[in-house]
Amino acid sequence: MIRKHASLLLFSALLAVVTSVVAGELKTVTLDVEKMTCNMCPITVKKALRKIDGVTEVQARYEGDGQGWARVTFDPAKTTVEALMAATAQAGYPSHVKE
Amino acid sequence: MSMNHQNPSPTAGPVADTAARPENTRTIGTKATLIGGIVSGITASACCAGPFVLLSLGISGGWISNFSALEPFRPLFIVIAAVFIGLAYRKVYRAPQTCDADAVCATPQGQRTQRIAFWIVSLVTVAAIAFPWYGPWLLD
Repeated sequence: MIRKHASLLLFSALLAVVTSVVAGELKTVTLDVEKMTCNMCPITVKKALRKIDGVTEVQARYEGDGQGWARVTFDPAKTTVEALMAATAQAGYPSHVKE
Repeated sequence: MSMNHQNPSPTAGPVADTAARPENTRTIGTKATLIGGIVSGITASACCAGPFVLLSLGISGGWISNFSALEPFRPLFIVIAAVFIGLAYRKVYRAPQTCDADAVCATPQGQRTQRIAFWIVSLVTVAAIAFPWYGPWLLD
């Protein structure tokens, strides 16, 4: 029973990866985010990025000293890195692509 | 913002003022101390919760980044809020006998209303000050 479920899970995970690749490669970019001051800030940044059409996954963290980062997975056919940076800046947190 | 421009040292200004004119502190009403407490409490958290609240309301703009400049003053505003709440406590619980015959605090019902207002405002102020700490667990 458990094995059956596990294989089903594996299959659907594989399917998800295959479909996302077929549907158009998703891109992941890491942004350095400025003006962060506390643990509330990454939540605001995440909320701002998730509003954008084409963004599929967002992680963000505050690292202290006014600096933080956001890792965004998005569909390049629907949005751009510039749009992501503009969204964080409009929410109060200027950002740029991590070198 | 404009206040900051007029008064480059907000720490020295109000303190020197009250020291020079002690009679002023006595004329501050309970309502004023409660409003002062809640405003200072919200200002203390504006650095961190401000952008989130604005985003939730659909307000955006590069100017929002200025909120983070308030962060170094967070301890100062927490102290100011505590002082206001302390003053309000003193007014509501310690010195009701000194109020005028026609004032709100002259009647038991008036005092009750003041005490309820005091506790509501205190809770809201504490909730506002602590928001940057419990907000991430609540919203993430």
